Amino acid sequence: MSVFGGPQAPDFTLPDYQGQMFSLDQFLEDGPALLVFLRHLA
Amino acid sequence: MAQLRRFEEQFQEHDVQIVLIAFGSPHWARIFVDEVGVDYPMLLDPEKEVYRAYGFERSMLRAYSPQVIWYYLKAIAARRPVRLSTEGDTLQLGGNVLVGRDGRILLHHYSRQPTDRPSPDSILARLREPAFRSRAG
Repeated sequence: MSVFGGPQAPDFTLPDYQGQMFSLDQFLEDGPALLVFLRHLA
Repeated sequence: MAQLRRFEEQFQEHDVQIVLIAFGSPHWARIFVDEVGVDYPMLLDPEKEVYRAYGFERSMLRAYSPQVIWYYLKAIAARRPVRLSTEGDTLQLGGNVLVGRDGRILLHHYSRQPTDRPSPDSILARLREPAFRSRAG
């Protein structure tokens, strides 16, 4: 199910698997961001 | 993931940053990145706070729906690689969120089964819509 358009995306700061921290704002400085939330098996 | 990679050039034309978010351990994430061969940033959210903030729920019924079981049975029968890790929360669901440069959500897709992701075409179409072009940046 897709919802088009919406409110402000919640900002976040998370580490990558090497421990380096990234925030959503950092990615948005360079352009739109496609966040792909993985589930357990895929 | 393979679909996203096929459309990588088109995403680059729109300066789209693809960011993977998972809740497994750093060890699991490294294996995933190596196996899938992607070089997108892969962020870890072990407490799943960001999953919750974006509305991605846990569900026994949806995590193990007949469609999901059928998907994995077909994958196993076709000898496609299936990651059957027992690490992490097996009930957590995922999805995709396209965020414009101004921070507004342009598309929010709740995945019903492993292969239920928005098509790259639909994401690109969203980026091309005049109403969202400025937001997309």
